[in-house]
Amino acid sequence: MEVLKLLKVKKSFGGVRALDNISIALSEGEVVMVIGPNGAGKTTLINVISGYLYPDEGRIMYMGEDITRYPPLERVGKGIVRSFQLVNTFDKLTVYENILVSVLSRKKYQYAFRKILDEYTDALEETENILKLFGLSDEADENIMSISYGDRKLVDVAISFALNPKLIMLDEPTSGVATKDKDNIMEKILDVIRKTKVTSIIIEHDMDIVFRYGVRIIVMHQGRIIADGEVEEIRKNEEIKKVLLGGVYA
Amino acid sequence: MVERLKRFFGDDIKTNFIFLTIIAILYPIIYVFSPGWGVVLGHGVTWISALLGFNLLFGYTGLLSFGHALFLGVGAYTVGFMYKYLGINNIELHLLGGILSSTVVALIIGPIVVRYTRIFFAIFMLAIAQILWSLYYKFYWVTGGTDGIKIPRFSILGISLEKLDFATYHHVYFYFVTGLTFILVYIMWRIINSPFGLTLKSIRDNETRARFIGVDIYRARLYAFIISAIYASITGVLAVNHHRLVTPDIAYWTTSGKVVFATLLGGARIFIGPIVGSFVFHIIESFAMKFIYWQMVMGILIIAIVILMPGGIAHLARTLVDVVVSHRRRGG
Ligand SMILES: Nc1ncnc2c1ncn2[C@@H]1O[C@H](COP(=O)(O)OP(=O)(O)O)[C@@H](O)[C@H]1O
Ligand SMILES: [Mg+2]
Repeated sequence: MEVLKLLKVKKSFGGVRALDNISIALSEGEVVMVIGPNGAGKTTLINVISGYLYPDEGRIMYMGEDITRYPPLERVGKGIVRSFQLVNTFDKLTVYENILVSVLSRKKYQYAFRKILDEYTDALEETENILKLFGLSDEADENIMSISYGDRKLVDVAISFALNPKLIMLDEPTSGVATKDKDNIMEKILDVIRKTKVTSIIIEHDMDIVFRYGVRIIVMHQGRIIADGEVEEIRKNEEIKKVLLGGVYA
Repeated sequence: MVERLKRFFGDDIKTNFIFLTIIAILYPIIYVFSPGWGVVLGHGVTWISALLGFNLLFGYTGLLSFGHALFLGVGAYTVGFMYKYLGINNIELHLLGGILSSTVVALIIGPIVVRYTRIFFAIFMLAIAQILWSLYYKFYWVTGGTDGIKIPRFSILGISLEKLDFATYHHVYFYFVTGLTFILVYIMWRIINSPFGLTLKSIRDNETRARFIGVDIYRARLYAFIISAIYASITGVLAVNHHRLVTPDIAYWTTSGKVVFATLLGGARIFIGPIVGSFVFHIIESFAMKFIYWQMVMGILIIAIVILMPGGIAHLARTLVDVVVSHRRRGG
């Protein structure tokens, strides 16, 4: 079944065409890695799918429904979840609370005030499980700002997974992390994706990582999709490699 | 979960109850030595509700209101009108009236103001509060203008306090308000430690992310705003019953300033902060009033304290407790 379908989606900022006629289809359980040089439009792609921005033209279909104009909150309710390129966590809360707040929201307890948190044993248990899944149990009671950047990125991703998404979009989950930790993070994320079988779009800047872990790969350049296919196909294509290597990486 | 918080001094409900109990025990002793200081404690306990309400928005939701006098005014004039036009001097009805009218006012302005944050929210609240103040001030045929509305001693459950001597009356007032404050503190503590409380903190820390985990931030802020308004109006109701006079002063911006400063003084990041802040503020105020330019003295004192103790008194106390505890651990 088709989970997501973009039909000729366009988005411009002034003269810059961030998304230029983008059409993509994702079937259930599919994991796509999106790669491309800086400014290719990768983040904008996630922005229009998540409702952070609305496209100028084109349509976005989700589970057969036109969601092009739906506000973010409604999309989250339908299981469309994203993380942000820069770490986006709740900075005065502990690791545990960061994930718990997300679990509570998914369970529709976000406005409940008649009982204290202690009494929501189901949510507490799920939070523990998610912490375990991401190997964050030892840091549960630490303030989120006092753990390593790599672990904060993992918490960020875990917050998204705590919502039990049907479609998850991760914007460069390994960016800003030391090279040696990148594999560790990506492996953990892919492990969780495998277990939950969630349809995923992962933006990744690092070509090595993409070729190592990717299955289906979308290459973007100047707002356009210049390749969409199996990892082997992309790896062999010298033209695409040139674009990726020639792009401004920062 | 809350267990995890409890190790912190001041966020535990027990610390709060113990603190209030100590004050309740000290009250008659202090009163015997100096009724004046007894009255100061009476002010202290009266203002806790407003400070807790303010801090639900400030410390937990990240919205700084410069206009909480608005809701104290609503509570106060509800009492004034209830007495002036309906002859009601029953404090339970005053409280009920204050809660209802502040809820209505919060429902009218809340949906608009919660769309703003930071300085915009602060100024918006200040402006609305000043508009209401000017109405109390100008419509003197309704409100009595600056002369205000005089009210008699309240009655509790129909029992009149008119015939009591001064000291007994003060004690009845103090213990009634303290009893009520125990309940208000407990309810607020439960709210802050509920899922909703955690949601508010998530909005405070990161509005965008909160939205993308499925929180309707305006809705959550509106709920917090209403609760905050009710708590502030309760102090309005109590304060005018304490003074037995309703004047526009309670709705003036200086009242909003007092709420802000007293909360900062006590500490906005710790639950007990506003409770401690209320007492300390009134104690400092009563010292400062001995000077001619007491408002200036007060201002300088408060600025000095806020600069020297950025986390407030509660934070300082927690730091000291932490030092002592870790020292003992190392020693033993
Ligand atoms: N909110 C915005 N306002 C103006 N320009 C933007 C905005 N978002 C993205 N752009 C521009 O759109 C282009 C694509 O950006 P982006 O999607 O962030 O690229 P990527 O994530 O692939 O690095 C860039 O030229 C960028 O400057
Ligand atoms: Mg990007």
